[in-house]
Amino acid sequence: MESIIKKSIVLLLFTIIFACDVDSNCGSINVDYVTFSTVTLNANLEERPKEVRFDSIFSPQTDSIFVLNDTVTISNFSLPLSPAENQTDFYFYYSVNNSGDTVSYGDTIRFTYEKRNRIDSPECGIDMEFIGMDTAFQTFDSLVIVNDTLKRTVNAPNIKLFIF
Amino acid sequence: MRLILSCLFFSLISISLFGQVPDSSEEIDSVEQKVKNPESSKVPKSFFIPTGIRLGTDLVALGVNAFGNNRARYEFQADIDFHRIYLIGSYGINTYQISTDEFDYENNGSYYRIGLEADFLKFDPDHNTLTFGLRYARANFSESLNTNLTSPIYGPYQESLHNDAVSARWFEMTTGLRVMVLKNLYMGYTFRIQLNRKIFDSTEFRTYDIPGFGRAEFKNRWTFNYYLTYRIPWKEKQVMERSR
Repeated sequence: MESIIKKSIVLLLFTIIFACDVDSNCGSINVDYVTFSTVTLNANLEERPKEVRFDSIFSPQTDSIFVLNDTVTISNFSLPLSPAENQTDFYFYYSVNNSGDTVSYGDTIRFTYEKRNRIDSPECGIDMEFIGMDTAFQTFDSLVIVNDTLKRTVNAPNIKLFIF
Repeated sequence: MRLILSCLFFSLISISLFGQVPDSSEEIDSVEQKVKNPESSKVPKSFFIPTGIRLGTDLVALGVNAFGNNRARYEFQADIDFHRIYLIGSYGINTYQISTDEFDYENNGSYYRIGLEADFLKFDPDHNTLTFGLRYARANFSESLNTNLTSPIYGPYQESLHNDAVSARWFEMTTGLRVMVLKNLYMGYTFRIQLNRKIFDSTEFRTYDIPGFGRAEFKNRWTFNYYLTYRIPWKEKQVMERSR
C-alpha cells in the first residue's frame, strides 16, 4: 500500500510540472500589420527585389497617410490593418525606374479578414488576432499571398507584389 | 515564479504525506501494527454495499465570494462509498465579471465533475479518508465581451461580442483528505490537477474564464478546494480486521 501511495504522489508531482503553465507577461505574438515585398522577374523568370518609390500610400478609412512624397526607394514595407472593420483598403501611388525611364502607377488592394479578440489580462488588455486574411480585389499586375498569418514570429512577407 | 511556488508547495504536501506513511520495515518489526497479508484476504461482497452519503460545500468558494469582488461561485459535492471506492460528484454555479477602461467581461454558467476515488485508509471505521482519484469535468456557460479601444491610426472603436453557448471539458487527477471533526461532520481538502482542457463553440472571441476551471488560456493547471461535508449514514461501515 505504501508503494502505491508513493507512486501516486510521484505521478502527481510529475503532473504538477505539466500543469504549471507560464504566467502572461503582456507579450503578444500577434501583429496588426501586413508586410509587403515588391519583386519582379528577370530574363530567367527568377524573382528579384524591385525597388519602388512611393509617392503616397493611404487608406480611405483613416486620415493618416502612410507614405507621402518619399524620395527613398524601397522593396519591403508594412501597412496596418483596421481593427475597427473586417476589411481595409489601401491606395498606392508609386513609380519605378525601368531602364532609365520612370513609370508611375496607381493601384488598389482591399484586404478582408476575421478578427479574434482575446483578453490577455486585466492589466495587459485585449489582444487582437487577424486570421484568414485575403484580398477581395486588387489591381496590381500580380500579387501573391505568401502567408495569411499576421504574427511576429513569421519572417517571410505576407504579400509579394509583382511589378514589371 | 508560479512554477517555483507551486512545486515548493506540493513538495511540502508530499513530504508531509510521506511522513504519515509508515515505513514498511517498521511495520513488519512492529508488534502492535503487524498486518497479516491483508491484500490476499478476500473482501466480503457485503462490504461493497454503500453505507451512507456525504454532502458538502466548498469553503474556498465561499471565501472567494466573501472577500473577492469579481467572482461568485457555489459548489456542492456528494460522495457515496463502495467499500474503499468512492463515487464522487460535484456541481457548481459560477459568475465572473471584470471591468477595465478597455473592456467589460462577464461570464455565467455551471459545471460538474464526476469520478471515482480510492481510499487508502483501510482500517478506519469513521470514514476518514485519504484518497486518490480521477474525474471527468464539464462546464456550460455564456460570456460576453464589450470593448472600447482606440487604434492610434484608425481611431476609437467599440465591439460587443457574445459567446452564448460555450462548453468546456477537462480531466482531473485528485488527492484529498477528509477527517471527521464532529460526529458525521467532516472537513478536508481536495487538491486537483486539471488536465487536457478543451473548449467548444467559443465563436465570437476567445474564452477567458471557465466555470470550475479558471483562466482558459491554460490547458493544464492545478487548484485546491476545502470542503465541509456532512455524512448521512444508513448502515454501519464494515472494515477489515487487523491481525495482531
